[in-house]
Amino acid sequence: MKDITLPALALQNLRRKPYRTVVIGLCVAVATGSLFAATIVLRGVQHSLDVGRARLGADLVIVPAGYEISAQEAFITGQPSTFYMPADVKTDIAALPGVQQTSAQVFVETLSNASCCIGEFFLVGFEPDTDFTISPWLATHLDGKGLGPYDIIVGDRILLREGETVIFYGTAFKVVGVLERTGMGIDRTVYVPMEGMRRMIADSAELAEVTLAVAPDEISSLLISVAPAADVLDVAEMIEASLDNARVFTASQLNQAVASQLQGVLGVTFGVTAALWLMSLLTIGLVFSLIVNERQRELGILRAMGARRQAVFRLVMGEAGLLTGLGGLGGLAAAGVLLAGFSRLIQLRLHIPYLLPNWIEIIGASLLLLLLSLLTGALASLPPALASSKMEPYAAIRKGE
Amino acid sequence: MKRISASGMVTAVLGLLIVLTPVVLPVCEGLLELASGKQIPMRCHWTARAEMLFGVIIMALGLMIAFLKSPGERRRLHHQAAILGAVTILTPLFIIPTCDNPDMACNVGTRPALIILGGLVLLAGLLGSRAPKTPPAAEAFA
Amino acid sequence: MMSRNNGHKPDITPVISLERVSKLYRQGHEIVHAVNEADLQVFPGDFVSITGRSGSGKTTLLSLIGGLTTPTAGRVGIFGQALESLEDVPLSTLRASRIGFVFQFASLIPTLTALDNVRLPGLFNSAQVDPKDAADLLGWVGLAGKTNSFPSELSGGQQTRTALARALANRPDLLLADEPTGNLDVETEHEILTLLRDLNRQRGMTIVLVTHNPELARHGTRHLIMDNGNLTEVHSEKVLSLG
Repeated sequence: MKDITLPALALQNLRRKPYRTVVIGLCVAVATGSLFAATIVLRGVQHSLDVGRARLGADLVIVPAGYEISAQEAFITGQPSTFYMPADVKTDIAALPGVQQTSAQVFVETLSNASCCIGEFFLVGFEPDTDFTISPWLATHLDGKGLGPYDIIVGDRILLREGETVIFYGTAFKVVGVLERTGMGIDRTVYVPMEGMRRMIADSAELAEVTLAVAPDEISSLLISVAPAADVLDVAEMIEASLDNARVFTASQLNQAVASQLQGVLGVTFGVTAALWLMSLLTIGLVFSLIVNERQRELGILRAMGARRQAVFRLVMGEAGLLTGLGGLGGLAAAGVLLAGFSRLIQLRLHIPYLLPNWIEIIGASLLLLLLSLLTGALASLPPALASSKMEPYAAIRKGE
Repeated sequence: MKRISASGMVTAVLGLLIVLTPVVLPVCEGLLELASGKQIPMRCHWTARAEMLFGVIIMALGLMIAFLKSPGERRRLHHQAAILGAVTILTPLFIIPTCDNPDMACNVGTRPALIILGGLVLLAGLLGSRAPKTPPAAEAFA
Repeated sequence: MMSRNNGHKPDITPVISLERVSKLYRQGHEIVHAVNEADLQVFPGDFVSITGRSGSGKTTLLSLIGGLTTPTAGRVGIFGQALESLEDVPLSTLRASRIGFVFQFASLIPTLTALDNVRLPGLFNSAQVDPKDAADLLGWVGLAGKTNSFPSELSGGQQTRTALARALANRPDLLLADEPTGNLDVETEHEILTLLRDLNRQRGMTIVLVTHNPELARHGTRHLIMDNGNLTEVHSEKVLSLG
């Protein structure tokens, strides 16, 4: 037979008023869970941006004027977007001081395929000779073999695996590599060597239903890496000054774009959470004052049985702690399950990049929030617990009659 | 007098939510064109149909649990609800899998919702089938 | 256990000693003398009945004895220790280990079974109450078959018996009972008082019983009357002749 302990007694007390217990528990659960979800999403976005920017490798990106926003969108969410500018931009920029390397990319209209199993994706032509975005990755993954014009590399979200052949606009390509997941738009990108891309565009008139109208001397974007000694913003300014019909944006502007994307949603979430928390705090304080009042006689009788002041204090605090602790745990579990299930939906609906943060961060956030919910219970029940422990047993028994 | 079973009501509500899932989080709406030119709905359309049917059955089971008096009968129905919960989980995964592209509506919304709801039905069925002895004054949800 | 005795034996340390103990209350603008300069010595093995009308200060007196409240004036001694000198911890320890309380209206914890209610005092004592001992106590008060019943499933008399079993769980030297049979029928009342008398006669337990019913005083070895806060002892021989 189990020993009777204070926590067991506290648990029994919670079961006395199941409705009240469930309502307060839910309140704490929703507050804890939504704060947890908001934290994880925020960290996930940050993590994804870090990984994505590292993958991009570029310090600056030049795109035709008027397309800055859609270009950023394309990088972040893979929302397909096509725009073109003359390729001679490249020669002008390469000559500028502080510019270490430039590499051009060509974006091609996505294929809208009605088939169930191939979704939208982004075709990007890159220059294997100058590229610094995926070439470093290629170097370690291709075992020194060269990249043929029809060898393509695909993002994690493109449902193609290594060795598979796929036809775009009538031209057959072979998948030679699948990139690791970043959570950003890059995951839905197909990288095609520029030579193969140009041939595909040229052949599309004959082989495909749609003719691609991209002139051989047009490019979509120019990626720039800045010399280590140079200041990125100075170089950006210089480039901006030398361009007429093109705009430059920095990699860190991608973060700002995402931040503005998220601001509204996160603001509401944190606001609601704060309100819920305050409500929980007040409700728990009020309810425990009621509980202590209701059970005055009982607590007095416990004292008569030999319970110390401290035992009564611990019983009341324990009940509150148990309630908020269980509520907090439930909230964390629910938020975890919902986040695991719907992270992709959230990402698509909010147009944000997202990659699961590492486990240490997740566990750390959980523990911190659990502590916070326990503290809420402790703080709210402190006054009634103190009052109940200070009460003279005789007065408590008498008043409770 | 035996009160209305809380786990039965929970099961019924979960069943209702399963029925509503494809309405709130719809599956892919596009049509596939066969070589013959005939247009047919995508695979996930049938997943949703099947799950809505399971949802109706789970709802009925939940209501029966809630209002039946015999504990033995209740336990048996709880077990049946648990099995249907498992089927609800397995359907979009293996029995009638949703579409292949993980970014499509059926996979980002409908499927995780069904799996979570199925899991809750399973849990409610398993927990409900072994009701613990509680003091009469503290019986849940009067 | 100590042998039973009725008389005053000044050479033995009294279990309870009250010296000119008063307890005053403020009720609005009025000051109520709940207990007025009470003197009392209770010796090991005594079964003291204190009777009086309701509102005469009986319960307050019992609470003073048990250290549940502090006197406005005078000295309360229990087991040879001055109560006023005891802090919360030693006082609680004293209550947990040597005193058992039975209150007016059963005071069981509604969420615990009868058995667990009896085991409850162990929570505040150095040792848990052995479930077997608790079951034996329930058997002794005549509730052998009710160990797993919750208080709401017990009758008033059964609840009082359970409360009595609980008061005995820590093997106290002193039992303080406040109107234990206040809300019970005559037959049940008689059964419970028989249990108390057995405790006193067979186990030598010191008992202080407070009741509004003077009839019940015949079960005790000494009889005191509380009237408007004033405590007076009825001559012992008279009590015995009644018994």
